[in-house]
Amino acid sequence: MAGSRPIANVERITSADPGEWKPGVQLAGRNLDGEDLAGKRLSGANLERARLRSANLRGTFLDGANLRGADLEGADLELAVLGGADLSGARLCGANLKRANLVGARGHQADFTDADLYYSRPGNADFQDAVFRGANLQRAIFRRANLRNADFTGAHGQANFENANLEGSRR
Amino acid sequence: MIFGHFLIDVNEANAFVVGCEETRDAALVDVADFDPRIEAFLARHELHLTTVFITHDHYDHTGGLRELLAKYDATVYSGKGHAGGRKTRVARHGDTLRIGDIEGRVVETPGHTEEGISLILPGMVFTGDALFAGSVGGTTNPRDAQRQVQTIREHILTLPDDYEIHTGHGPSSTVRIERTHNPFFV
Repeated sequence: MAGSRPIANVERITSADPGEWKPGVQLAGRNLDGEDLAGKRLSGANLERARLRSANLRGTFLDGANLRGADLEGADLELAVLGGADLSGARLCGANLKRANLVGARGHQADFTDADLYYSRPGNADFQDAVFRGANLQRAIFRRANLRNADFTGAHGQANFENANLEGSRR
Repeated sequence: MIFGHFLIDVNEANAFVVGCEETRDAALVDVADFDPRIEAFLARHELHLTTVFITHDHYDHTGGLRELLAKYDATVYSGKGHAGGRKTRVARHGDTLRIGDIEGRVVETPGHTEEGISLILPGMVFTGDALFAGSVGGTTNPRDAQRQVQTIREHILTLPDDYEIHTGHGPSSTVRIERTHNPFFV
């Protein structure tokens, strides 16, 4: 257990000085590979084309963030809050998105190849033309999501697609 | 405020610790199991557990009460005055609940259960199984479903947009996300 590391799944002291890591922060194009941003509030941040490979974003609030074209390959986004974020063209290959909040997120042509979306919540998301090849979709809730032309080749697990638009999608 | 979110093995339920940085008093919201990480978290932050808030009386939110209360002299609050087979204090709609210097407000959110209550603290709300990210709690009849949606609209979605919503299962959310995108409200 622990030492100085958090022992809760998400841990935060709300009065702590956020330093650079605060809502609305401008980080477009920055190299944040491997950065530990777990549990931080980065709501509305601009991370367009940022590199976040293998970054620790566990439980991080990225709601409404601009992540267009960002590289999140292998990032840990378990319990992250990405509702209303823009992931269009983002790479999330092999990312851990278990229990992530993707409600109302936008992600045209986002690449979720081999990502783990176990029990994630992409309700009302717009993932037209997104790629979910080989992804784990067990218990993911795509209720009312736009998944037109999405590629689910090799994806596995029982997901909820209630009222989702799957027109032209591939399995 | 010191905040900890624990994902518990029992039915993948969430439990939360909220602590006051000034007085070191702390509250636990729901207790599916008395996970040793909670005890370690309290100890590491030098917090005294004074309050347990039960959002509703289901085993995956109360299962750890007995073990917890054997170790901590905390006051337990629930919506109907008993939870997990034990008597508790009753928390009613509009009641104020203090965690050190942190003031909370209880609101009723029935539907998933008749006695369901939520706790509003500065900047965040704990909704139990009434509201989830992109969903709402299961109900047994249309009347309860309608009542649940109505009380959530009235008491939760009227909070400021950036308020965090911490739910009984799954990821957290914000008022803005749920008001704007939750399929049950748009």
